[in-house]
Amino acid sequence: MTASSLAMSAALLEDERSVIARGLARRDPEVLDQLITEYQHRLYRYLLHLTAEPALAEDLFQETWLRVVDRGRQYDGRSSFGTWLLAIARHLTIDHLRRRRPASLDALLEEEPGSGRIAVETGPTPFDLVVNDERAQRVDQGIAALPAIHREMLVLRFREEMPLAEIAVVVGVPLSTVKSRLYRALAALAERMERS
Amino acid sequence: MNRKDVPSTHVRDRVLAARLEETPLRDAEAEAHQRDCAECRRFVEDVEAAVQLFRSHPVAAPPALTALTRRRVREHVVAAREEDDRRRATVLASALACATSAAMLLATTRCAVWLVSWAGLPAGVAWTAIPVLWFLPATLAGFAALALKSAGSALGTRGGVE
Repeated sequence: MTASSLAMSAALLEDERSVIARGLARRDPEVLDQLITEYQHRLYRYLLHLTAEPALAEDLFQETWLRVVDRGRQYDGRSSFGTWLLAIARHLTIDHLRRRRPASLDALLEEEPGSGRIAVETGPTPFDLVVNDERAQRVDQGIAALPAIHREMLVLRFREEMPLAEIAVVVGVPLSTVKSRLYRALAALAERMERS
Repeated sequence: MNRKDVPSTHVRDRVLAARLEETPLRDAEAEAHQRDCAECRRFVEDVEAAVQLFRSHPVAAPPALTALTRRRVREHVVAAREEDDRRRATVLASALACATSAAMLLATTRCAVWLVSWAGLPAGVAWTAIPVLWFLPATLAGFAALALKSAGSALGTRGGVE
């Protein structure tokens, strides 16, 4: 890619972000509709991995979009909309968990999940297809047994393909913390799989 | 390179660091160790499998949830716009009330000064009269309300129901 095409794509990205910012400031239903279409799966996946409870993830999914309507004017287009959206979803999740059980933020997210298995809503998963594969089983069990704070890191990095810097914005921690959390998440996963 | 040369934990650390940054493992020492050590090989395979599983997990938002969310968002937008309109109207009405009060104050002051000068009275009388002009109607209205209430009128008893 040449420098001019890079500059052009950066300008297009910038333009897209300002269109979204203007649309959100106006509470434009068309813009909101398009955003829901574009980000529905990403947001739902994130919430599902974070909460490990489909019913709660669905509630928080709706609440997140309503919050986007209310706080739309605060989006200035400096970060990507996806990053901003996931940060809102994360805050709502933490608020919800805090109401349920008052505790510190880290304690909430680092708690061991009771039934952390992620329910998949659509069709047979690759996991179903390779259910006889002993490693796939171990991976699934390993992920399910991870604390939410580690599942969050893994899903943002390896499912949503987010750069580390963007993860830092979503989670609201320094880049070095993101790296160490990711490292711990991968290590914990590998360790659990090894044990199983 | 013999597997005993490099501790397993170091190899695992290097593998994790490379995976985290999505960079290929260009580490001859670690690669050689992996070839020789079944335990580490299995560890690397597990990490790769975990990453692959995350990438291939087809979790999608249920269509019914998306449809419900769209409907709620539209309703919320309408409600939020109405709230915005109400807020704007309140601000406008307050601004109008302030402007009217300021104009009234100015007009009353000018009138009082003119009347005092027309009647040939000392100028100090005007500055005494202005507050009276402002507070007299309000005081009279207050007394009237009290009087009506004590008389048990419709105005003093919430629609005339005792």
